Amino acid sequence: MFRPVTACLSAMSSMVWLLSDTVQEILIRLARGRAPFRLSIFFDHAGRAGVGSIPLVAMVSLFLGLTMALLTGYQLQPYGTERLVPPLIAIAFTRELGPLITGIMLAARIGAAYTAELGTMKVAEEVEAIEAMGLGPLRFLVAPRILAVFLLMPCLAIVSDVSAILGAAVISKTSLGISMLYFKDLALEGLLVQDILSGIVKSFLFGLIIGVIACYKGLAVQGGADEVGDATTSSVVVAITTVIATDTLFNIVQLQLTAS
Amino acid sequence: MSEPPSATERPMVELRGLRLSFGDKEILRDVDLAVAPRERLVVMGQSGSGKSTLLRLILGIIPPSAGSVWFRGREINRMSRAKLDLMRMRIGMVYQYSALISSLTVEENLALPLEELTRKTRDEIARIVDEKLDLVGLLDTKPQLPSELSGGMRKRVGLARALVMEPELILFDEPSAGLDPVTSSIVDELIIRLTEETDTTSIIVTHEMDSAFRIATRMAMLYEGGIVAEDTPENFENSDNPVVRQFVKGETEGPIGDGQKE
Repeated sequence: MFRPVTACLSAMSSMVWLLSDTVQEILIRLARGRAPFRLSIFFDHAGRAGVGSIPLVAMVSLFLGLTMALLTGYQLQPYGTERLVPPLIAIAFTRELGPLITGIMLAARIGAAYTAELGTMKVAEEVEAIEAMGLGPLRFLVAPRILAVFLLMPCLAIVSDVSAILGAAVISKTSLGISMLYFKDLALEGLLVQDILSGIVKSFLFGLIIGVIACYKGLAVQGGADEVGDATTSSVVVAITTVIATDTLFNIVQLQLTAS
Repeated sequence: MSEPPSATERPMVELRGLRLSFGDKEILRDVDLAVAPRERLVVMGQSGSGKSTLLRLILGIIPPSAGSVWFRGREINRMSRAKLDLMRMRIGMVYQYSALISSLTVEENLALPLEELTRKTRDEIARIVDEKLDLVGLLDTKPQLPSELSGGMRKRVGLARALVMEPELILFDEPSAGLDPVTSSIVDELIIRLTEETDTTSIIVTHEMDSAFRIATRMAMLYEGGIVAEDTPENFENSDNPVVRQFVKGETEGPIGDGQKE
């Protein structure tokens, strides 16, 4: 009965160790007066995680914004309160849905890729060879990956927010008779700096979670191709679940703090 | 031929009372072994007897359950992470399946440790890479990815990569496994020539008898977690030890088979 709980706690502590060992390897490199990792590798991963994800994030968010505006507008129009659609969409996405949807998409797109890459390298003894050469596999393989997804996640969340709000603005103009300029005024009127900040902080947190889980799952692979496949599936499932759970926890804590 | 080790010379590698268990399974028990400078020690044993694990213990990749591993008079298991990395720079490892970084070309694979661990200029690195690839006869494979090479070529590139940092000790994990007899002989000759030319010590783990006798200056037999015999190749070939005799001759009857039949 307690096995899943202990397994979960053990995996969590291993992830904390992974992160702390990565920081330790980075510090050792810095103490030797060397760059912790190659910038070209970081930009490579940043390009894949960030630029490469823009079309997917923008497209999905645009359609979500369209649908949300359409459905909320349809519900609010009979009461003459369709003017609430712009602030509703703006707040919902900047504070909640933008980071959440982006987190889910990045966990599936980038988290899966990281786990599969590292898992395959582990099975082929490439990770061990890097360690045996004294290169430090964590700072060389893990650090640029985690940093790329950590730093690019807020940027992608902003892309998601803008795309969704744009989609909602189009529907508001065509179906609800709210002009683009009026939409902008209503959205900005309802939006608080706190909402934007909250979304950005969450995005950083989700990026870190996705990066750490994906790298941990990849490096924990033992066996062959089947195990790499299993680890990749598990990485996506665990990352998505953890992102959603963290979002809930974050909201509870934030609301408690606001109330007090 | 390189100079033989003198009796007073400090061992390059020493394993003292080494034990390793994974859960209830005991892999190694009370392994004592010393490797002198410039020696080519071949460690033989059945598949799964813990030979490759022994190499990982020497590199400090796996910590022992008990006992200690010494390199040049310093205990590996007590080293800080930073010192362990510095020590690993002095040891080269050639993997059974080469373990070349699949996303990098042959040239990038060889240049990687030099770029990351030394302050050599690009020109110096390029010169060393060319020199080592030339040693293994694969200078023309520089732009190729490991997946474009044959098994034997990958093994030779793996050897060239192990040599770029000019190590004092090279560990070979099954260097002839999976190779045809001719390629296997080429790799063996290469190991002998390169280790003699550079005065490098080497530990070779294998269960290929022809290869073992060709390479070794000394041999050790790992059986049921312990070293059961340690001698020169000549004495090994004529050993009275039933385990060694059965293993060397490849006989089906004997203590090794009895254990498996049970």
